[in-house]
Amino acid sequence: MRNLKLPDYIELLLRLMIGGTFIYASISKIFHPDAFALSIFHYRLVPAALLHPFAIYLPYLEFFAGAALIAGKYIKGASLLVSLMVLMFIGAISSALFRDIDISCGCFGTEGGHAIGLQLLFRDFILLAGSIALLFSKISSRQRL
Amino acid sequence: MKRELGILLLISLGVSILAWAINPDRLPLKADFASYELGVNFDLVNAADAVQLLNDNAVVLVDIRSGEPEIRLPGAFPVRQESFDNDFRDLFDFILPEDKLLLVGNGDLMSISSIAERISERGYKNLVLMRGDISAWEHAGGEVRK
Repeated sequence: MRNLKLPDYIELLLRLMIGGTFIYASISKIFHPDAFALSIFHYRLVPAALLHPFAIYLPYLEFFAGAALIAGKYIKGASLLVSLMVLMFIGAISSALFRDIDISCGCFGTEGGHAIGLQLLFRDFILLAGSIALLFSKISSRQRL
Repeated sequence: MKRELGILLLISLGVSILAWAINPDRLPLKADFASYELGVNFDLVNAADAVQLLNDNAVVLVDIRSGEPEIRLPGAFPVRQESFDNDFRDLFDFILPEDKLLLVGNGDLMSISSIAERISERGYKNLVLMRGDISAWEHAGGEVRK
């Protein structure tokens, strides 16, 4: 796995797609942290003391991880961060589905309020596969845009 | 990789703290779970934003405090729980369904959201609820009459 060798254009494509998705997802959340906090609250997984700090911090984490991927800087760290965040999203969505909670995913802040469902899990698994591929890619750290 | 991860975590933390510090009222660090539990479906604004909305003539001010408060809001329409129908009838002559109404109360989100629901049921759905009470309004530079 450590020696995974991706063609340059595939790696670039993955970085642009995943990085772009994360930046796009973060913008609305950064400008509307209250709406994002409400989305997080609906999952009922985050305690009261952490709800707002989490709603303030997570969008910036998404933004800088996405920006790092696009810029080709700190690719390994950004890939790990993206993978962990996507795993967290998968856990949260799975938990909501398991508890049969009918809520909007909040994935893109106030924009694109998709109801949670298997298609969202599928999308997140694709993101996870892409970020893991970048994480274990041998050439990633030398590639720049 | 640990170093890269640490750098990204720290940059994000630094920028998020800075962004929050510039405008802490946008989302206070401590969550008011009551408003979430109530399932308030209306926009909640802090006192500073509420005053700004009024100064911009973007809203019609509605005072939902019960009784005859000592501190009054000049230009506000009283819509009280105990005399809702009569109060709303007076307000009805001055507003259109698309007008944005700013509801100011005594800081109790339960009562303000209850009034908001009743107004909303009458077709006026463009509602903004102010967090905090009249002292927060006054503190934010809102006009009051004593």
